[in-house]
Amino acid sequence: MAGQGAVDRGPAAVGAARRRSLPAFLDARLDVLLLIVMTLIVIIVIGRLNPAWFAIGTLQTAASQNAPLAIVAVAMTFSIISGNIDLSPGSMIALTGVIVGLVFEGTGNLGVGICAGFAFSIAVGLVHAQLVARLGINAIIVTLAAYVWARGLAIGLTGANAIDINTPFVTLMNTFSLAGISLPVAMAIVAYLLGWFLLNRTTMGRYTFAMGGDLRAAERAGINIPRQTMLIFGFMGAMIAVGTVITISQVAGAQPLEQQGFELDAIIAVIVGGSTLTGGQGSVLQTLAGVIFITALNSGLGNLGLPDANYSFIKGAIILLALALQGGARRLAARRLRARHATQGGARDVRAVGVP
Amino acid sequence: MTRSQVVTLLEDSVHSQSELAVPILEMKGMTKRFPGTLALDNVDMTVRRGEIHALVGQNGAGKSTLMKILAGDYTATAGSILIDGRPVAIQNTRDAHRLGIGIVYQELSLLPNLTVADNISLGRETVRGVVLDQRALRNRARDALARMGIAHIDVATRVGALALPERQLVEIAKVLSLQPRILILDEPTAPLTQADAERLFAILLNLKQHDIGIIYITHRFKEVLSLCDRGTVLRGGRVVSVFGAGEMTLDRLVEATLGQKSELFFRRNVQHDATRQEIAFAVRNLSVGDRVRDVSFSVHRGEIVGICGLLGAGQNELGRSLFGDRDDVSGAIDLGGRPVVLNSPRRARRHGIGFLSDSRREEGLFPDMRVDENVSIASLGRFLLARGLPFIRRRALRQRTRAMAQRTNIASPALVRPIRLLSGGNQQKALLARWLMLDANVLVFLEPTRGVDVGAKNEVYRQLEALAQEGKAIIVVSTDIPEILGISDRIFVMYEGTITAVMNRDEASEETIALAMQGAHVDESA
Amino acid sequence: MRVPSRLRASLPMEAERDAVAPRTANRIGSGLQRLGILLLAGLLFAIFSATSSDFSSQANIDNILIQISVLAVVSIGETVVMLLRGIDLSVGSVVLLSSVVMSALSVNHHVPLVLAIGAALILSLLIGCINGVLTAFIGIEPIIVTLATLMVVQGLDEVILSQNGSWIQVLDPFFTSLYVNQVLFLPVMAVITFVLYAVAAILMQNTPFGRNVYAVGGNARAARLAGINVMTVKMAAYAIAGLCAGIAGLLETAQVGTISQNIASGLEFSAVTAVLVGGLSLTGGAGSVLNTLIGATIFGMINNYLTLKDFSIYYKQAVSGFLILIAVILINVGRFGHMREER
Repeated sequence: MAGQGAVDRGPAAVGAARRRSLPAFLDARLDVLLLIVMTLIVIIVIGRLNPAWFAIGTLQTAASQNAPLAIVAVAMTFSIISGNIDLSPGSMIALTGVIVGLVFEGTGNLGVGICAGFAFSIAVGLVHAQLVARLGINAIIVTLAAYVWARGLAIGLTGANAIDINTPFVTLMNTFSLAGISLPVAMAIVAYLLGWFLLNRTTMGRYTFAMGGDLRAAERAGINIPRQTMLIFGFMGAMIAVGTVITISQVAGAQPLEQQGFELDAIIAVIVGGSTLTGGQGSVLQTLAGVIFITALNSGLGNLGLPDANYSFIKGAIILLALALQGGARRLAARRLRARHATQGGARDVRAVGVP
Repeated sequence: MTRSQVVTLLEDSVHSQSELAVPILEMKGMTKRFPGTLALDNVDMTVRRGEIHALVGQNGAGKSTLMKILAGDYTATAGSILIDGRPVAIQNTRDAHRLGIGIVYQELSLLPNLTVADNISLGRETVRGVVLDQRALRNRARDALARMGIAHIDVATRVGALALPERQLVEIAKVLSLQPRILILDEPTAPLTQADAERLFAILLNLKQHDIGIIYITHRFKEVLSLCDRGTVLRGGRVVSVFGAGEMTLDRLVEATLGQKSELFFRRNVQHDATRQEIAFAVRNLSVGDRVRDVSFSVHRGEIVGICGLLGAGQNELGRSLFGDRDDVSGAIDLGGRPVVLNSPRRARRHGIGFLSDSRREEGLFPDMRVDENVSIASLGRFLLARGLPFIRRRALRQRTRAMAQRTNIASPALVRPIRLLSGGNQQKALLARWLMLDANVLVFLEPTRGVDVGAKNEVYRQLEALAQEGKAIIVVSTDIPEILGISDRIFVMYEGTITAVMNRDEASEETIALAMQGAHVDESA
Repeated sequence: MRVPSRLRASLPMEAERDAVAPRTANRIGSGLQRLGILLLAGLLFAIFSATSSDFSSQANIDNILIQISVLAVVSIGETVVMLLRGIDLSVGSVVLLSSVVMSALSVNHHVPLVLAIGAALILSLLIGCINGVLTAFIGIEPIIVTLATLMVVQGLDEVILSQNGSWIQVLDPFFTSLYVNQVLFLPVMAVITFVLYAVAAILMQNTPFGRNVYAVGGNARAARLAGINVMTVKMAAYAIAGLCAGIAGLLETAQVGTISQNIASGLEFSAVTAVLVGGLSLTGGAGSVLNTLIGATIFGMINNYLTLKDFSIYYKQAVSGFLILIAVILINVGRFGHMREER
C-alpha cells in the first residue's frame, strides 16, 4: 500500500547511517580540510623561503594589519550565508574613514567623528537592505554600485588627499598590547565571538541560514525577510565602521585610496572557507580558516620581497587554484552523496507530480 | 435559516455519532471560482471531533482547492466555515494557524540546511532574551517526534541529510507541534515506507483520542477503508457522496470517484492494430533508482501506450528515464532493435526522442521568447547555411516553424507573442510543435493536458492521434484515467514501481484501471 | 502590502536549482524598451547640448564616440555573459593585459605588429576560456571566479609592465591612424565599434549559439531538456567576453598612446552599468546587444558632459556608481508587483 520500494529503515537504520557517515563527514568538510592543507603548504613554503617571516613580530604585525579584513569577513559570512553578497566594504571603509576624518577636522573631537562614521556606514547598510529586500534588486548590483560611488565620493571629498588624524587614541591603538595581542587583534577576536554567538545562538543566525537555504520556505515560516536583511546589512555596516577605526589608526589618517581590493579578500576568505554563494551554509570558524589563509598569503607573499607585480599574480593564481580544487572536491562529494541517497532523488520526482 | 433547515439541523444532531453534537469543522456551500473555471460548486463538508475524514476524488475534483481555502491560501468565492459551531473568517495562513488548522502539504516546507530541531520550531523559537534556548528547541523537537512514536531520528541531524520518508515525518511532527485541532494531510503516505505509514496511522489514531479532527486526502482507497471513519467524495467540484465506515468498498469508491464530467470525452479513432507494426522502442529490465523496478515492455510504431498509476508509483521516473533525464538508470533501452544509451537529453534528442515535461513552466518554456522561437529552438542546427557556416536560414526556418504551428493548430498571430502570454493549451501545443519540427519518432509525454483547459484538451488528443497515424511511437504518462482510456492503444498500470497490469483498449475500463492502480488484481474485482 | 523578496531569483549567477523561469522579466517588450532608452538618450543629448556649448560640436561628438568605443566593445562580451545570468568582473584587467601585451611585444621586443596583436587577442581569449571552464565546468560561481581572475590578470599586467619599464609608449602609425582617421565623417574607432556590434547582433540573432544563449539564460533546465549543451554555451560566452576585452585593448592602445597601470581601471563596472542601463533584465534571458550599445552611449555622454562641465574626475566615479543604482532601481521599480507568487 504505502512505500514505493523505499528502503525500509528500522529504528537502528538512521543511527547506522550516521555511523557509516564518517566518509560523509569527510566529504562535507572536504573543502575546509583542503583549505587547511593549503594554508599549511603556503606557510611552510614561504617559511622555507623566508625564515625570518616566522618571527613572532611579523606574525603579530600581520595579524594586526589584517584585523579589519577579519572583522569584515565575519559580517560577510552572514551576508553570504543569507544568499546575499557585499562588494562595498573596501570603498566604504575608505569613505567612512573620510567622514570620520572630516568630522574630526570639523569638531576636533575624534569620538564624535567615530560616531558619525558608525552612523553613516550603518545607515548605508540599511539602505542597501531596503533596496535588496523590498525592491528585490540584486545585492551584487546594489553593493557594486556602492563599491563605485563610495570610492568616488571618498576621493572627491578629499581631492585624493589624506586627512591626518593624530590623537592619543590612535597612538593607543597602535601601541597597546596585552599578552602579545594588540588592540586590533583583540577587537577581531571580539568580533568573532560576537559573530559566532549571533550566528549560532540567536534567531538572527537561524533566520540567516533559513533565508539562504530556501527563501520562500523561510517567508512561509513567518520570518520577516526585510527585517532580517536589515540586520545583516546593518551588521556589516557596523563591522565596516570598526574596520575603519582600526584602519585609520594604522595609517594615522583617513586615506581615500585605502583598502582597495579589500572586499575581494573578504569574500574570498568566506568562500574559500567553505561557504557557498548560493547560501545556506557556512560558519564563523570556517571563515576564520579562510581569513588565516588569506592573511598567510598576503603577509607571506609580501614578506618574500617580491616585486609588487608578482605579488598580485601569484596570489590570484593560488586563489584560483584553491577555488578550482574545492570546486572539484565539491562536485565529487555531491556525486557520492547522490549515490548514497538514491531514495531522495527518486522521491523528489514524486513531489513534482503533485495534484494540481 | 428556514424552518426546514432548522429541522434538518436537529435531525442531524440526533443522528450524530460523536459524543459532542457540534462538529469540529463545517464547511457550507463552499464555492470557488477561478477565471474560466468553477473549481468548487457549493461543497458541504463536515468533520466531527476525533474523526479521520477522508477526502477523495480524482485530480481536478477540487480537493486541493477546498483544503487551500481552509488553510488560508485561497479565499472562497462563497460559503462559510464554522469551527466548533462558530463562524470564522480565514483570510490568510496566519488566521488558519490561529484557528488551529494545520496542513501538511505534499511539497515539504522544511529547510534542508537546518536541523530537525530548528525546522520544527522555525519562526517560533524559545528565546531567553536574545539567546536561543537550544535545549528547549531540542526538547520540543524530541517531544514532537516522541509523540509520533518516532525514536530513530536524531533532532540534531540536518534535514538535508535525511531521506524523504524521514523528512515527511519531520514535516508532520512540525505541524503537530503547533497543536492543531484540525489536521489536514495531503497524500501523506506517498513517500513513506510501509513501516512509516503504519507509524503514521498509529499517530493519527492517537490523535483521534484527543478529539482532533483529521482530514485525510488520498488516492489510496485501501487506506481510506482501513483508516477513515467517514469520507467525502468530490467529483468535478461537487460532493457526490458522503459515506461512513463500513458503507464503502473499494469498488464503490472507485465508482464514486470516476465518471468525472468531461464533456469532451475523447475516444480515439483507431484504424489499425498497432501491435502488428514493428517495434519502435523497447525497454528491458529497466530500473530507475528505487522508484522503478525491473520493468520491461515494448512500444510499436503508430502505437500510443498510456502508463498510469497512483502518485509515486514510478511512472514519472520511468518517463524521464526514457529521455535521459535520470542518472540512476540501469537496464537496457532499444531503439529500432539496437540498444542505445540515453544518459542525457541531448543524446535522446539525437536518437529522435521527444519529451514533454509535466511542468512546462519549469522545464519546457522559455517564457520571454516568442512562440515561434520556442518552437524552433531545438531545430536550429538543421537550418544552417550550407558549407558549414553557422548562420540560420531564417526564411526556411520561419516557413517550417509556421508549418509546424499550423499542424498543431496554433494561430498565426500567436507566433510572435511571448509564450508566457499564451494559454496552457497553446503552450503545450507549441512545445509539441518543437518536437515535431525535429521529426522525433518516439514521443514521451508526461501529463500532456495538465493545466490545459477543457476545450484545448481535445485538440491535444487529436494531435496525438494524428501523430500515431503517422507512425510515431508515443508514450503518455498520466494520472488522468479518462485521458489514458481515451487515447491509448495499450494501457500499462504501474503500482509500487512495477507494471502490474497491461490492458488493451477494448478490455479496459475506468473501473479496471482504477482498481489496478489501487493495487487490486484486475480479475479479483468484487 | 507584503512584497515578496526576490533575492535568490535575481542573482546574476547560475543556480541550477533556481531555474524557475523568471516571470515577466520585462513589462515592456524589447522593442518598446529600446524605444524607451533611445528616447532617454535623445533627451540627454538635448539637455546636454542645451546646457553646454561644446557638447554638440563635431569635435566633441567625435570625442564621445572614441571614448565610448572601448567601453562599448567590452560591453558586448559582458552582455552575452549577463544574458546567461552570469557576470564577468575580469574584463577591465583583460583589456589592460591586451594593451600591455601588444605594446610590449611590438615596441620593446620588436615583434611584428600583426603578431603582437594576435598574441594579445589569443591571450585574452584564453583567459575568457579559463573563466568559462571554472564557472561552467567546475561550477564555481562566476562572480568569484572572475574576481579571482581579475586578481591574476592584474598581477600579470603589473609583472609585464614592470619588466618593460612601467610604461610603454606606442608610436606605431597603425595605432595613430586608428585614432585619428575618419571613415565617412566618423572616427575609425567608432566604425570598428559599430561593425563589431553588427557582428555581435548577427551572432546573437542569427546563429544557433546566440539563440541558445537566450534559451539558457531564460530557462536553463528547459534548455537542457531541449537538448542544448548548456555547459558549452556558458563556456563560449565567457570566451567571447575575453575576446571582446582583447579587441577593446587594441582600441584602448590606440586611444591612450602610452600604456601604464592606470588604464581601464573600473572598466568592468562601467560595462555592467552599460548593460544594465541598456535595460537588460537582471534575471537573464532578455535584452540585447544593441540595447547595450545605447546604454554605453548614454554612459559615455554623461561622462563626457561631466568632464566638459569640469566635474572633478573624482566625483565622476561617484556619479558612475549612483548611475548604476538609479538604472537598476528604475528597471526594478514597478516590477515586483507582478511577481506576487501564485498561491
